[in-house]
Amino acid sequence: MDEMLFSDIIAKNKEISTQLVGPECKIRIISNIMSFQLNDILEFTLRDQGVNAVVTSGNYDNILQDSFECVEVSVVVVFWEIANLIDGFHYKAVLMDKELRGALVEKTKKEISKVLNNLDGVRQVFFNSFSSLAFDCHCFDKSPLTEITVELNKHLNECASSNVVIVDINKLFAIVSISKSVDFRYYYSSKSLYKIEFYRKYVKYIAPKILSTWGLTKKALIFDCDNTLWKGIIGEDGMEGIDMSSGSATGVVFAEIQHLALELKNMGVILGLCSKNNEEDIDMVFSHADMKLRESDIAFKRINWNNKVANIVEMANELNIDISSIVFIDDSDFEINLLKKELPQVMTIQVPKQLSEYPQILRSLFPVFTVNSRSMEDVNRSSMYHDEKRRKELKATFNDIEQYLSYLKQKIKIIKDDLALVARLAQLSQKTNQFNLTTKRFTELEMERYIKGSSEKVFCFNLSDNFGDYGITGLCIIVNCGRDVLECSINTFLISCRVIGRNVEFVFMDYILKHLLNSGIKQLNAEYVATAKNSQVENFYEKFGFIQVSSGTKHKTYELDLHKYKWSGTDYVEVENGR
Amino acid sequence: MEDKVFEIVSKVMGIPMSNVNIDSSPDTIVEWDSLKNINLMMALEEEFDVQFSPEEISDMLNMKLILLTLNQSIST
Repeated sequence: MDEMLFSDIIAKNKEISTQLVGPECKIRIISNIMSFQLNDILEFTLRDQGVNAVVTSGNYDNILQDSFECVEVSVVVVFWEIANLIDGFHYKAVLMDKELRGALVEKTKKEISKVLNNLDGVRQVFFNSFSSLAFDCHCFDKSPLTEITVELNKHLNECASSNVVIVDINKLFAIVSISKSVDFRYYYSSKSLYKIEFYRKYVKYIAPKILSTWGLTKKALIFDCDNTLWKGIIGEDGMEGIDMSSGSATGVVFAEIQHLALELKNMGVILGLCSKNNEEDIDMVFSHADMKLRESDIAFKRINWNNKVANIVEMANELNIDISSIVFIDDSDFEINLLKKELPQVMTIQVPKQLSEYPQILRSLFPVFTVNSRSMEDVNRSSMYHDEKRRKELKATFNDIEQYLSYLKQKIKIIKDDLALVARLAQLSQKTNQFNLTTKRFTELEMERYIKGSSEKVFCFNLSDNFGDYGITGLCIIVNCGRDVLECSINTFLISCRVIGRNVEFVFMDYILKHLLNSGIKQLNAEYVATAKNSQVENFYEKFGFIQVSSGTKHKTYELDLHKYKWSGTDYVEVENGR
Repeated sequence: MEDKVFEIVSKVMGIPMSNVNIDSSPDTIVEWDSLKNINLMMALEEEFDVQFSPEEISDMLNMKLILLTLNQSIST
């Protein structure tokens, strides 16, 4: 993407526009400058990742009015430039009457509040922080322009709710440089302030955040070993010959890489190894004095002489994650090119020839792993995958799946309308693709509204078994179920891929049905919306006695007479009543 | 260079190469509006690694003038 020329981006974007499928991701850019170059770059980046993005711009210098019209939009991007608060403000600010200047700032603050208020229902708002850097490069004194930006940013921070992501423009300037970010020629002639280079970097930061709300985040990072996690080849150089010491000029790079890997692991990224080596050699390296990564940090590995493509496909299956959620790092041209050719869905990173650039490359990858909500499950994720490995080993020794499931002594705790779980539940809705009947994505704010709502019920469950705790891994939202109603609907029913194949969905549904029956509900409506990933649940509702009332297979709607519900009778899962 | 410029115009305006020729201008190509013209200038600068002056930008009103200015910028 960095290498693509602007004209190629425009052309490719047009080309790709005819092949888009799935629900539209409507993005609106509202701005007090000209910023239309962003449209193609952002649109193409998202479309290239499979999102049916449609980016449009508001009118020039019309932020407040435009913000009233941002309904049914998934994402809003706000470019609000201090230089154009009034025409020529960047040079007029200094001589301007103090009172008048103060009044302008107050007016802008009020507008910010109003705009944010108007955008409250939008899933994601990217709001650029105010910056005077392009116009004020004095190292010692604070100009009035800078003081105003500080004040506006403070106000922005205070009134931004959880759907707002504040983009630190000064940081972006530091990365790109002012001279590569800003073009005064076009600013003076047509109020177009930023250069293509700036928009490319800007998109690089915001796109992963948008993608994650569409369930398209990277989940696993797989490393090759030799010359990727340490300098040298263990099979040839031996324990003394390999280097990852923070005290040596080359080793320090790998020490840093391992630290960064651990940082990612703590963010909830699953770490894996895939290397052509003898397994005992790699096992030995874990006892190396300079080795920062422990065996327990690695959730899964394939150390053998097989084709890496096959190894990576196997690992994805083992972990129940999509191939496209994997990032792979290797130093070898051969392996990288093989992956690119055979498994283009995998994001590949090659260790750079100039080793000193390696940590920065890995650091710049962090945004692709971004999810919008962080929760305890992330922190425990690696250990959960370890538990999963032990379960899988055990499963192989049982012939009958039910026999195995009852051996696991599964316990599910069902919780209703718990505000403490907002972050995790929003995250579940954003990340779950396979066992998800409607694939509706929710922000924390939206989830909070459901939980607080009097005609909505939000059920979720926590699952544990002999081997450990899965955390909150299932969600069901029932809507239109206020007082004295006879009919309500399932808005969302999903379970995390970590607990697929354990029949807990039956127990969960049984529980919810019992609850609805007790509240006097007579009829339950449901729907299945097909996506590229959820075909495994296309006949889910039939199993419970729901009757399909629509024709078609891509979007099926159902009705259920509650008295005709087919109870699953699953008796090997213990149900505990939660909060 | 001429072909390359035609290609960039076709990409930026989103029209087939066959619709672009030496006589093209905003008058002959409907898609060539003022916003797309800024995109075109930026794309040309990026492709040929040049920087036009504001006067040059306002003078590049049609294909012939674009080629002329571009030739001057590249040779200086």
